[in-house]
This record gives sequence, C-alpha cells and structure tokens, in this order.
Amino acid sequence: MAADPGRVSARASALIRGFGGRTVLDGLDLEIPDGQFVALLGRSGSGKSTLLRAFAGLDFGVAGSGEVAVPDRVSVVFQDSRLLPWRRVLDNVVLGLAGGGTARLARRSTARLGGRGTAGRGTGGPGGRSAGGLTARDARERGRAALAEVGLAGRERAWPAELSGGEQQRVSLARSLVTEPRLLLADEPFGALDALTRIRMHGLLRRLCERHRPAVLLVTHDVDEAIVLADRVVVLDAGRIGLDLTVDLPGRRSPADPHYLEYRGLLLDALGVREPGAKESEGVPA
Amino acid sequence: MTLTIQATTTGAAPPGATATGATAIGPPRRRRLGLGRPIPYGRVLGPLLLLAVWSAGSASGALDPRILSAPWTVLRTAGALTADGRLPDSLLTSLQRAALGFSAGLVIGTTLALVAGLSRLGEAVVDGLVQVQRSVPVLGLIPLMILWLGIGEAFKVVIIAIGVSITMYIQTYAALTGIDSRYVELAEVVGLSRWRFVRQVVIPGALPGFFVGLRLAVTGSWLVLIVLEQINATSGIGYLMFQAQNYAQTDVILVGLVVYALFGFGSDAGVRLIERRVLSWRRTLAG
Repeated sequence: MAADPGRVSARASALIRGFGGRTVLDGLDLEIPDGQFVALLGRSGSGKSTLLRAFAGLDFGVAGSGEVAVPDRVSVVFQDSRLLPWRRVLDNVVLGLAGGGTARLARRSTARLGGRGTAGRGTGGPGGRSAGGLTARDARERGRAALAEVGLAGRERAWPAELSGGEQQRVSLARSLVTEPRLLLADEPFGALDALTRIRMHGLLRRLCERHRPAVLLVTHDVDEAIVLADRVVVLDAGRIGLDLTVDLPGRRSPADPHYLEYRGLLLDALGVREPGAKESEGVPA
Repeated sequence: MTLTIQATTTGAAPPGATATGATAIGPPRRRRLGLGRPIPYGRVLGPLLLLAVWSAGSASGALDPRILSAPWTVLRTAGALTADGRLPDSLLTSLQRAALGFSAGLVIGTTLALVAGLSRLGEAVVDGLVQVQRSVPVLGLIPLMILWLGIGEAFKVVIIAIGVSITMYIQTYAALTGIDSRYVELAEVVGLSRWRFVRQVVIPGALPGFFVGLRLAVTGSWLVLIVLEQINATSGIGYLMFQAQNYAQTDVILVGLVVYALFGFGSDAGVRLIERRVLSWRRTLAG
C-alpha cells in the first residue's frame, strides 16, 4: 500500500511503435515513480493511447522496439466501462480476482441483505495482499468493499444495464482497484461522461488514489482534467515527450488560481493551441 | 449590453406576430397518429373470427364436408382417434423421432461449433466441412440415407439430426466468433486464464446467438419430420394424415394439422421460456 517515491513503478525506454509505416512513438523514454499520478496529454494521433497500450501489454502484433517494464499488478480503465452485461455488478468487480469466477455458493448471500448504502462506506481498502490464492468468499468480500469505496454499496446484485453511465464507470473503477494495482492505466476514462458527472468522478478518483497510492498514467485530451488530477503532466508530441511538467499546486486546485492558469497556458502552448482571448474556457484540442 | 440583446430579439420577431407579441393562445392541438394502446388479448381475435366463419359455413352447408369437415366433426374425430389409441400412438412415435433427432443434432451441432469457434485448428477442419454440407439441402439427402439406413427409425432420426445440427452450428459458431473484441481485451487486461475466458466471457456472450439457433432448429425439426412422415413412414402423425388423404378423410387430416401446430407452438414457447430465464440480464435492456 505504501508508496515509495524513490522507486520506479513503470518504465518505457527507447520505445518505438508504428502502424503501417507511420511511426507513432519515436524512441520515447518515460519513467513513472511509485505512487505518482501522471497525466498524458497530446493531440489526436500523438501516440497517447499507443503508449498506454504498450504499458498495458495490449499491443499484440504491433511493430516496434524498445523496452517496457511494469509492476506485477497493473489495472486498466477504459473509456467505456466495459462491464460484461451478463454478469451482475459484483461479479464484474471480482472478474480479475483469483476466486472471482467460482463463487456460486456465496452468490445468494448478497441478495437481500441490507438496502442501499448500508454497508460500511469507505472502510479503508481491502488488505494489500497479492491477488493470488483468494477464496471465493474473500474475493467477494473485497469486491463488496471496493464497491462501497466508489459509493455503490447495495448495488452488488444489479445488472450493468440498470446503472447510469457514471455508475457503470464507477464499477469499472472498483474493478480496477480491487486487485490493489501498483500501476493504474486509464485511457480517457471520463471522456464519455457528461460534464457534471465528470467533475464528481475527478473527486472520486483523487480520493481513491490518495488512499491506494498506485502509480497512475491517465491519458486525456482535457487540459483541465490533467491539471486538476495529476502530480505531473506529460505532453506527447510527434512520438516523443514534448513537455514534462510537475504540477506543484497545493490543496484543492481551482481554475481561479493564477498558478493554475499559468500551468494551463504552458500546456496549451505545448499542444499548439492558441486561445482566442483569455476568457475562452474550452481548451480541448480537436 | 443587455439592451442591445433585447433590441435584436424584437427586431427578429416573425412577421406573423403582432407588435405587442399577444397572439391567441390555447391548449395544444395535436392529432394522434400513433396506433394507441393495444387491445388486450387482441391476438386471439383473428383465429376466433376464422373459427366462427368456418363453423357458420359448415352449419349452413356452404362448406362441403369432403373439402373441409366441420369443427365439431374434427373434435369428434380427435376423440375417436384418441379412444381407439391411434392418435396417442402416432403422437408418441412422432414426438420420439423429433426428440431423438433434435437432441442428437443439438449436441452435435453445438459441439462442432465449440470446436470451430474456440480454436483455429478446429475452425480450419470443421468450418469448411460444414459449409460444404450446408449447401446440400437436408431433404436432398433422403435417397442416400434410405439406401444406407433403410426406411426405419434410424434414417428419420439421422435426417432430423443433420438439419438441426447445421442450424445450431451456424448460429452458435457465428455467435462464438462474433464476440465483441472489447471484451476480449478486458479479459486480457484482468488476466483471465483461457478456460475462465471461455467460461465467463465467450460462452455467456454467445448464448443469445445460441438461442436464435435453438428456435430456428426447433421449427426446422418439425418441418423435416412432417416431410419424412408423409413420404416414408408406416407410423406417426404424418402417416395418419397420409392415409386419411387416400380415404378423403379431411377431419383426420385436420386433426393431424392441429397436432403439428400444437407441437410447433408448444416447443417454440418452451424455448422462449428457457431463453427468458437464461438471458435474464437482457430483460432490463428491453425495458
């Protein structure tokens, strides 16, 4: 659980990736220390998702060279919640746990116990043991705790289709955190949510990351999201790192803070966006 | 600033509006063009009407009983056939053939689909073979099967099984291979073993397609059964009807048709019931 900032959690060195003759990542080097929250910005096609997929080990058959090193427990959050529609919420959360598939007996016991939100909310993370060697009962206990952490206690037996988009994405967060990952990879996880839900999700993600302290690599195209959430913002440009910025803002980060605006200006500059007047609040590159 | 906006709004008012903006207002008037609420049990109305016309025609003598027997004659014949044991016997024979052929076809078709859908080698071996077999209509195999197996029960069961297995194979295989690649990626990311991936992602994901196949196969098996019983049989509902044709007994033919209809309707309803149970997660999507 405890993060050691001196240790490197994930590393890519001299990473080259290309599709159909076009080089997307061009000798990229990136190190993410333990427990650091890194936001990855870049224009469309700058290689953000390619880099994330390389860390996730999801680039089967992609041409390239270079090395990627990741910890043993890596979780991925996708833009869509990607819940299996034929598994109930809790079964989706424990999908990746060792005991998560065979819990036929324990299934009934969750059925009608307690209404919404009665289970202990935020009672701390599940024990930081390895995901291996769990019994079905342990797995479900951890799944239930993870659901409570994202504020969905009581919805264990719901089908994914019965939840709103924001709730589905919260379930997917619970699924990614239940394995106690040392590295959390998130590919525009809030991109499909409405603006109000997104703000709430930012708060939730920050709280969860403060508690579990995984290293995080968040791919986003939203400059404000990057500044609000991250300890460090990396801008990709033409397959390399164009800007590596440590965000040093204390406490709650407010867009009204002059330092905040300074960071914003720097990042937009690095992304090659010129704002028409200083009031424009949409800083999202096309 | 505010003044300018107001001025623009007034200036852009549609020409029909009066200067003060006071047009006549009232409740919204809309003609409803949708069909409105469905009639409860409306679906039985058509069949009931048909029955009424049929009864009226028979009672008034407008319908020649040699062409079409009266409804009550059909009922009486059904009673008589039941009493002398011919109907229950034929029914049992027909059901047995259908059930045997169907279950054999179900097992074979689903197994082949699993073999082809879950491994590249299986796909290479099985899929090409089934695609060739598929292009031969099942009923076209009758002469060959009679030569091989004679005109006994085995031949009928085999023909039904072939028809059912091909339908089951095609639907299930398509469902297995058509699994959403996003779910495959998810399974890779959470580190599922191959076995758990198949059990928890591929098979549940393919179940809707499997049930489509099941419903098509059930209907198809009755169709094949009817053809087989009417051309090459010495027992069964179809044979009963075939004999009745020789003696111009329309009432017996009608009894046979009703039995077939009940078979078809009943088995389809059964499959749908199972489907609703198994795919309960889908109900929420349908609302």
